Amino acid sequence: MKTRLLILLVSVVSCKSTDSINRFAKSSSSGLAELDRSTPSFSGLYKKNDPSRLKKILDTGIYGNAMNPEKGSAAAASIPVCMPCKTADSLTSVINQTLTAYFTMLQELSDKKLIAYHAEDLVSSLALIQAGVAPSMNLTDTKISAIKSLLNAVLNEPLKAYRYQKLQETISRNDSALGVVIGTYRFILDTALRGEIELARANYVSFVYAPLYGWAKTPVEKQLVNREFGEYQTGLSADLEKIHQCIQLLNTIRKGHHSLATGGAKNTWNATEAEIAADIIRINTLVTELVRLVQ
Amino acid sequence: MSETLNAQQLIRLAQSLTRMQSAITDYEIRQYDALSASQKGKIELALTELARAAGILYAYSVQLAFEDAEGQLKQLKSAADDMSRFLKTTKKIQRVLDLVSSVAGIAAAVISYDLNGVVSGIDEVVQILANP
Repeated sequence: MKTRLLILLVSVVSCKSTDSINRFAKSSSSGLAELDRSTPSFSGLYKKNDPSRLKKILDTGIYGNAMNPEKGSAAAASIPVCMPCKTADSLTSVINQTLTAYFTMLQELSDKKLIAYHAEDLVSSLALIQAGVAPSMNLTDTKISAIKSLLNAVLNEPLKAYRYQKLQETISRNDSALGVVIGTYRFILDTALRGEIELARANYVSFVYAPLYGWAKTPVEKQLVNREFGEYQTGLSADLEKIHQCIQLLNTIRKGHHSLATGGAKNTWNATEAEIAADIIRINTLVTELVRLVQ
Repeated sequence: MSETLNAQQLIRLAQSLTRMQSAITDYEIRQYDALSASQKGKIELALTELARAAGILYAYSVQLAFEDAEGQLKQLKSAADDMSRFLKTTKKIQRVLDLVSSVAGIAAAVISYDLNGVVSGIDEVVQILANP
């Protein structure tokens, strides 16, 4: 009876599971890894859409020989190295790595396998020792089984409760900082990188479309130039779509973390778990969508 | 009015340069046949400068945004380090419990004269101690 009561008491102390935190952190880490893979780099965009490189398209185009008086000069001109672009890429990478490290640690610490001590071996050994050393104790199988359950609970549950408290504190304390960092990441992707992509479109119009359209004399030729521009724009639209998905992913990670930070404190854990479950599904869907876009 | 631009202002400046580039390009397309080769060359030079300046400004805005969030990034890194330390401690506790079980196993094997049990129990303890 006393054993049952003790087990019940210990169970009450650690009623909240870290499973939601674990699954959410796991999805967030894999989402961030995919985000890192999917987004174009500043250096790559700069190099690909630099005027010198775009002008080379004119050299290889159908009008290259006849219309382009500077043929060959563009090819000879080297693309300048954009140091701010390289710095922007490494800073973006630092943000991604910091967020990934944070969620990876949340995931590892909330893993249910981390605290799973089984007292079976210990109790069986002690029972054997008892039989030889103090047979008067008369430990029956029922008693041994009760001791196993009690020891499992006594050794695991306080540690689980302490871990839950530690996780909850960490999530709450860092929620605001995470919001700022994700906001910065969002700014980088949605404003700066999107700006580079829009600039890439403007560059194509300035350095490829304008001269080609000027050289094209017949409606058929102009249509051909328009079609090539359309194809170029399709590539840029795919990059913009990737950025859109990445922003949705970051928003969902931010929302889920905030739910964990506030839901645990407000004792509305069941509702929070349901919200987190929906966020995990959303993150996994967005990751699948990103993988599809990259392929 | 602040003396230095912030990330948002830098973006707006870059966007203005791109709009200027697009406006000049539109003019060039409309007046293509009327422009001389020299004029086209000058336009191309101006467009190149505008395009490169805008590209660099977008990249610079990342540095400014990063600087604004540096404190929070350090906080998250410190939280990850703190969790890593806690994880190591938890793993150590698990090892101690495993060690207690193994030592009890050896004691049981000694009492019941089980030589194989003693040897395998010692191997287990050595293995636990060898893994830091």
